[in-house]
Amino acid sequence: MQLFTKLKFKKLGTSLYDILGVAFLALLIGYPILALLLQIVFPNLYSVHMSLAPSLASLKEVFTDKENLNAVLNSIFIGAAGTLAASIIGTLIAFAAEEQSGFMRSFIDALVWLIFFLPSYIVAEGWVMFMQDGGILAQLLKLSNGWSSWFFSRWGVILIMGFSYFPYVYFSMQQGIRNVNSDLIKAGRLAGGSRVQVFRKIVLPLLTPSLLAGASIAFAEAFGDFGLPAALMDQTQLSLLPYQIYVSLGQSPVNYPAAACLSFLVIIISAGAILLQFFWMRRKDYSTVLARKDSVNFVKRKNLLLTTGSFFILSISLLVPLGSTVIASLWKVWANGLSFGNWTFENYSKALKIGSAGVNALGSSLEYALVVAVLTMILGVILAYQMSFKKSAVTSFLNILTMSVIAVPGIVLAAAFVFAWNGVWLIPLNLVLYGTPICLGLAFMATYLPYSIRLQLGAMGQLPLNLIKAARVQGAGEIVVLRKIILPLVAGTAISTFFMTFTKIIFELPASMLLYPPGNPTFSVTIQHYFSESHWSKGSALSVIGLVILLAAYSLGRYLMEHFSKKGKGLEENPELESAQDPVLLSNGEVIL
Amino acid sequence: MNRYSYKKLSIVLMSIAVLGSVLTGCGTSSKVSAGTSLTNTASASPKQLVFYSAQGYDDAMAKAFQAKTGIKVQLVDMSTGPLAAKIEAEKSNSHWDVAWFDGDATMQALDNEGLLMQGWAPKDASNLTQLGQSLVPADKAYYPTGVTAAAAIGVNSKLLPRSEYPKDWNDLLKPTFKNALAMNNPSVSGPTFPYVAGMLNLMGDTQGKQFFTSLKGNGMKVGETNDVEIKSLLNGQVKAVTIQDSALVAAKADGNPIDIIYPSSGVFTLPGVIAINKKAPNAQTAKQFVEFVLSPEGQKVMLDPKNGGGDSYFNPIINGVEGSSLRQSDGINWLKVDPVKSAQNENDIKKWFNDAIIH
Repeated sequence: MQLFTKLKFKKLGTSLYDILGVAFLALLIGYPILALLLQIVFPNLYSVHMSLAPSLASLKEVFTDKENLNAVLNSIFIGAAGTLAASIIGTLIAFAAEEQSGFMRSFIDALVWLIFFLPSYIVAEGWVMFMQDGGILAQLLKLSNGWSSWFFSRWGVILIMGFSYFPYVYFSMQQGIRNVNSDLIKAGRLAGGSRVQVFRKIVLPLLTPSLLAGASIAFAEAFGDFGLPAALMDQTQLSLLPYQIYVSLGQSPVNYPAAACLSFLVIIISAGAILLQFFWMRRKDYSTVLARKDSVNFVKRKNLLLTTGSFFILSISLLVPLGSTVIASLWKVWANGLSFGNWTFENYSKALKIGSAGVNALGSSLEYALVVAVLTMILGVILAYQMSFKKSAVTSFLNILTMSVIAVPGIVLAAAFVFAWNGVWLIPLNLVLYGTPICLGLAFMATYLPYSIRLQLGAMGQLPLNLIKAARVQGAGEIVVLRKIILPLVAGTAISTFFMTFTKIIFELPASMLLYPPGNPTFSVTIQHYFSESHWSKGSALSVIGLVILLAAYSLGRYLMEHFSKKGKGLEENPELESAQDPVLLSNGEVIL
Repeated sequence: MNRYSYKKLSIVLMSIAVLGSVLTGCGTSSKVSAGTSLTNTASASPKQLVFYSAQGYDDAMAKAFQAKTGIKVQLVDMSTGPLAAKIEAEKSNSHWDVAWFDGDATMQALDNEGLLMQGWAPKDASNLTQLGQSLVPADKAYYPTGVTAAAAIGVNSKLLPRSEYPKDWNDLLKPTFKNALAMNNPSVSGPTFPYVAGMLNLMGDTQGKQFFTSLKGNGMKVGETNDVEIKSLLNGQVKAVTIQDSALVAAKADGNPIDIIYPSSGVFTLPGVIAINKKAPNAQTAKQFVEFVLSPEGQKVMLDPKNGGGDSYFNPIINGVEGSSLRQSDGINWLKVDPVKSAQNENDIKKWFNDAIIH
């Protein structure tokens, strides 16, 4: 990113839009985080009788507890190893998909999305059911107890993190691979480099921005994950930072100053990860988009090993958790397991009988998902554009802020929204948004906009500055550049971020739970209610129904996109003339000017 | 795709966004005013009740109350931990009228902060059984609505011969249960704290801590939720679990091979408790609701497993109200865990458990 300053980017100047963008992010994310962190020094800020008496007690408490240092180190290890696993798998599958064309490519893509759809509790529970003593695999293969003890350790956690977080890397690599400049590959081959050498020394380094964009999300997810390690590991093995945060929230009265302090640690470490990324990318040019037509596809020869390996990984990551969930949702009695006569559809008919309450909950979740996903997609493009092409101290601060939001545990972020939008200072302004759908919508946006921005930063890291300069020279304004040049080149990523937000909101729990307007629960809250009130089978059945709905929404979205792209082609009357003026992204990912 | 399709797509998406935000905007603007008026001038608005709860039967209760009185009930349902976190986070400008969950120590902590309405007695308060009366605090800040055992011993009747069934807590230290016992972590699972605190009360602080340390030395596993423990019991990973009895009854009611043992030296009360916000926007309807919950009519709704799932298998504490036939009703030696003392020591005990047993 240093590149942009090197190329005297400041000449593009700061406009009103940039200030608006910064102000928006500051209000959406900065204000709640600040409202939370202020409690570190003002522990009685939100007491019944507000007091600004400062105290350093919680800071002292957190930093003198040895367990916390231990937890930080463990969390960094789990986060880094989980990221490595996700990066390897995501990269492999992105290349495998790119080798294929037509149906096979769409098929791989759909499988990755399906894996991404799976809510994290299904992934964790599914793996536990499959691998544990007396679990599905043990019942099928008559394995003796203790066969899987290696799995229920940090290594199992890292493996499952790889299987569940690789889609982030895949999504960001996908666009990156399509944008790789084939001239560089040809040059490498002409100079006598072997395929492997060219891949290792040219292709992979060029994909650094994409890889880091996906990997940074995977790191933040893995680092802040509590559910997966908790489900897989006996607590006696490892203490993690998110666990320490849960412990402080579990105290009564709830120890928010300690939770804020520990969250501050999470933010510092996320900031460290981002700075490391800046350092890594310094002094290198990653712009790979070619400013002319070129249809050479650099991976022409299909690699059978890569394809089979990818399908193997895809089927494991999808079938184990989903299969276990579906099987369990069809059981009559849990203890009887895979035995004859223990099968029933009753759980589904029960789940479908939730009636109007369930339908209403699903309706409101879909509404939140649609509105927030559209806004997140659009804002993601705009803000990432500002952050990558107009570098300043403020934007790097925003960069760190967006990363920390992903790593801070969801329940803490949700509590931050309570503090921010229920403050007594808002009462005279009539702006107490807490308890309204707007507050939940804002929390959803604050949660998922960072994913959108991170992925877009990866995609834009490959765009050459000259493209924008050329447009500017010809008199194009800020909005024209964004709409006619940037948007077409990052459209694939934009659409990914739309579906990503849409999906995640349907199953999002912490913010939905803490912030939903009284009387109007969301779909995830309803599922959670069934899990806690009754048994696993009924909750699983409802989750499976939710997944089917998501799959239908995704397929519909895909169909519509295909439909519009075909119609668009029909309308194009004079492509030569048009393409002489504007850059056009061809279906193979290349660009013509 | 080419630029035409992007144009089209962006037009479609933009119109969806505009339409969506107009639609929700209309919906929300009215809700915003409702939400803010809720905090400021509730007396003027029509009768309603904002009801925070972690009970499985809460939605059925809300519907029954609404049907009976015509008062609109706005339910917020979640598990106890996040619910307490929500109440704490909004305490400077609170939105709720009634709160209802399991665990008097947690409720006592809210009372200690002065968040609860004190000194009010529902009209049927004298109908509480002796056990029920004993669970009402002196300042009358909250009322018990039913009671469960914070922990009973659940065994897998297929895997453990009857002769080896434990009779009291100390039997869990026998070699039979080496590497074959599980409990929950009190920092994560709400019902587990009164179990740990109760054992320290029953055995004395030092011996109580020694008891858990010996269990750990004997290979006890510590998990996060009742659900996980029941699965590992049914899968044969452990032979016995010490978890909340209502969860064990619920699993048994589903046809699973579980037997429930109430140790002879006693089990610890974990009451469902209900309270009214000190600054309740709708205090009058809140009182009406609490009285409905404690009435035989309300209890009947709570006791139906179709409404409350596992939570319906509690032990009633109102004269004349019978609990589920699936749970043992006689011969249980109930021991009250003092919530005032527990609330004081809660953080220390959890910290001790965390340091000595978990890590």
